[in-house]
Amino acid sequence: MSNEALLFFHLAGAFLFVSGGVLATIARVTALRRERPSDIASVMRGARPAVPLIGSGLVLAIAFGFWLADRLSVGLGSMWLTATFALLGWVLVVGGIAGRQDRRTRELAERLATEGDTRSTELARRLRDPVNLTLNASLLAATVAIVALMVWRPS
Amino acid sequence: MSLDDWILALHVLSAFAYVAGMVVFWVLVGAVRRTDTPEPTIRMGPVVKVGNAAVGVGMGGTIVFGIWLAFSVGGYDIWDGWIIAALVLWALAAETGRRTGAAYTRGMDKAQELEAAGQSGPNAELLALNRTQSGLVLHSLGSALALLILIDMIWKPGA
Repeated sequence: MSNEALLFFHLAGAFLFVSGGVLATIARVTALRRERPSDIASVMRGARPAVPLIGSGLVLAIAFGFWLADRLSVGLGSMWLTATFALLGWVLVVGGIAGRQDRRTRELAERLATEGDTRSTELARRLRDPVNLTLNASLLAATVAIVALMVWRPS
Repeated sequence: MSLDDWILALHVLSAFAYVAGMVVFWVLVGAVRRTDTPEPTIRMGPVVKVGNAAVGVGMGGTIVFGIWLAFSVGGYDIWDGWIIAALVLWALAAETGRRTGAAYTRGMDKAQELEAAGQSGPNAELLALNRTQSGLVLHSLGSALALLILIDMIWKPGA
């Protein structure tokens, strides 16, 4: 496979990964502004396509990134790559935790939607849970940082 | 890092914004196809604005920084075949995006008209407008053009 083809698949993966992150963030922020559980459930369902986008994007970006690094003799121990691996680890672990929390919030919203569509204090608490919001914000920050590291490749 | 490195970085970041905006619109296209009442249609408005902002920043950034690089980076010229191809594809993508927006705005306008008239129930005409076939085809075409631009940027045919 040519270097161009490796770069194409690496970049395509990166585009999918970032698009999924942006999509999940939009859904999470929009859900905060909704009142009715049916609306909240609907908006949070909109984040579902983000999961395969992020997953397939990560696989493509990492697999072809390693291949490309090997082809171009880029040292895997360089600072910017080490920082990127650390951030990717953060995204995987925290993404799993925050994703499960958001799924439970969506399931609660879906249940409330079928029981009179009235917002409960539990749903409001989950939506504004500072730990969950911080984890989600950290995921967006990590995604931006990964892109910045890939683009600028400091030292 | 040189100024050209920074411009290249901003060019690539703009491309990320553009693709992210296109993906947001794909999700909206899917969501609106199941929407036959005014309120949910109108509530997609804020997300549309985010998508528009991402696509606008992305398209603006890619063309401005891209043209800068074509003039500034040694070995490339604005009249190189692959750069002209990119400019043509970009212009086609911009026009396709404008037409896609116009196609889906009809549904939004209809929803606002229905809400102003106090009609909140399902409406067959609104559903038909939200399921616009031309909008779907145009957005598919826009996505294909974005993919062709990426291929052109990486392989640089003729460079």
